[in-house]
Amino acid sequence: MGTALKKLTAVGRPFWLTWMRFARLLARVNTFLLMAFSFYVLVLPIGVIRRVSGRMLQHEGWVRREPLSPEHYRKQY
Amino acid sequence: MLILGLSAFYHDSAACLVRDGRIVAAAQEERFSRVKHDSSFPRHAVGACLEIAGCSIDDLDHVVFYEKPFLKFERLLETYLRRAPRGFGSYRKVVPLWIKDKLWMKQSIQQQLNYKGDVLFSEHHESHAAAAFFPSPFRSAAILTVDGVGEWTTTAYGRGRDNDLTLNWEVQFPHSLGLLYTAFTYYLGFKVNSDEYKVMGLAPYGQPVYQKQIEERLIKLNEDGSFTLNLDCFDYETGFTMTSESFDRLFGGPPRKPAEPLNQKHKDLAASIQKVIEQVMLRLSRRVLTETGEDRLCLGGGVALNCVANGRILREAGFRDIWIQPAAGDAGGAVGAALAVYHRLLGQPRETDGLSDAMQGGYLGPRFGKEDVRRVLDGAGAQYEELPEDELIRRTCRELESGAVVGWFQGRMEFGPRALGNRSILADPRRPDMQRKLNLRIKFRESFRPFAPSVLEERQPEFFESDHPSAYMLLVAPVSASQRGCIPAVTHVDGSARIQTVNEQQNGRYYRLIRTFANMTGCPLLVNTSFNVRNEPIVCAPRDAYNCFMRTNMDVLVIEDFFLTKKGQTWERP
Repeated sequence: MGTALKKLTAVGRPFWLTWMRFARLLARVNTFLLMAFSFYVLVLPIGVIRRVSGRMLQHEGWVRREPLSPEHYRKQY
Repeated sequence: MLILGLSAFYHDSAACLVRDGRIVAAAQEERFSRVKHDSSFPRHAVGACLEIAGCSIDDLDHVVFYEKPFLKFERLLETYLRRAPRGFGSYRKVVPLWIKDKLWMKQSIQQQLNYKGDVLFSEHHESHAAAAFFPSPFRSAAILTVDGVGEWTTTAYGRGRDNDLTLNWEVQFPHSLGLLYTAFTYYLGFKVNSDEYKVMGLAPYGQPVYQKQIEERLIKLNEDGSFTLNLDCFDYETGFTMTSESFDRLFGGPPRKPAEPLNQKHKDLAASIQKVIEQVMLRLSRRVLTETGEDRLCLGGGVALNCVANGRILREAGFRDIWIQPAAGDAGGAVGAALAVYHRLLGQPRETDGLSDAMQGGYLGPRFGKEDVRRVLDGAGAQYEELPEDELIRRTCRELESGAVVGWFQGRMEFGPRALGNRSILADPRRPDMQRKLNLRIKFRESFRPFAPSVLEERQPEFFESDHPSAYMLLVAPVSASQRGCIPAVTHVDGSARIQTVNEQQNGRYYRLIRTFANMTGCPLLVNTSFNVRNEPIVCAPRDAYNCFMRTNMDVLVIEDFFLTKKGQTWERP
């Protein structure tokens, strides 16, 4: 049983490695496509609309800070 | 009550352990991992802190991270929204990283520590402010924090009183004094978020001929002390570089490559940005003085490591006293986060005698016992003598007097970027050739880099135009005109020095060493530079110290009570 498994592993390993290389390539392409989609279909239009409508967050000079209650430590925002 | 503070994932990861309001241990991850400015999760530093305190993860009451990841992510997204269609190159690399890892900070920390309790989050500049105020000797003070960027904030000020603090006003990203200085660090061919101090060291070799250009084209100084950057000249918002082509055009060429020689233009640029930073810091400090009415100031954030600017604030801003957190950069955020939770969330009182601070000289890291050291030295086949303290100090001073360079390793490791006499390389400051020798033969670094003196606190006014204690080497003062020729190894080209004052309470053995050297030579100072070589973190363990000693042209190594000379040693890595 052990020897058969070893033989199977030895034969299967190159296939597994090739598949993993392909999977990594696929993941990179997927990530790129997803990021490109989210950037050009969501971020860009929303950004343009907010810029045109003057609703873009950007402050210059001194900005007054909202007082933080001690309970804010429990939040990540 | 045990609180663990953590800073990580940007640069200079660190951990700090606070027990009932007292800092019992703090350390930076780089010292253990041997990766300079290591930003990975500080697991070794956490381990060291727990070992020092003699406790385990299960004993912790709270774990607190030094910034708020969701707010930081919001800032990133807002920046992409503002800059689109520019920024896709950075977006496609940064956003997956956040989605995969950084947005799951709480779970990640719990998993890394095997900690089952809740994780708390401070705000980045609140962590800096807490690190600047709570350990300070002041009952009440103004607080000013300045750095690259946290969540949104790049500069903030407010007040601290007893066990509370409030930051009232801030300047927000992308307008950042820290990033302006880092942009010049990049343009001058040095490492970003690492080599800013080299720009400060280079500045005295140049003339501030570009100061006007910077103030007219790069930064607008507002009447109220705030500032606004001309963002066309920078690329750090969504690009992969700090400066843009407009910046290159303004200064007549592309950034210097690291291997290129430094010419007069580079020195003039360093001098110019240094002058601008000093001006802005002075204006900020004066605003803080006027607005808060406090006559004492606590400084934090990475820009507070600019000791030339600190010296000018002390002399010119009008405060009666200032205190600077010795680990003012992100590492110190771990201290601030832990103290902020103890005092602000839990409402615990804060005690101060109005005289001494709570950083314990910065000696907050691990120490190594005599048997640990002996084991390392025996394992390496080192030839050494074990000496009683008097003899150890006398022998070391005799070697220093004869021109030897000494590696000095004692007690608990320092927390923060400076070696303060426990992980230091020491030398005689009276020798004109010592600066060059140390730079080129020991530290293997640029020849322009200056060295700092450790001076007996009570004798500081004889040598420097300052009587303000500077225990953490964070203030620069002019060397007295009468002494400039006497201590050339620690007198920078502009006649200034970055001083560390030493007293017996803070570091007894180091104090006695300098005092003995003074009795022998009449000179109550030593050259003190960090125990490392270029591009390596300061040594942590005896093994690191012995390796460094053997790899360089250091003449003598003193580890605890053990005295080693280079002669007779055979090179065998322990």
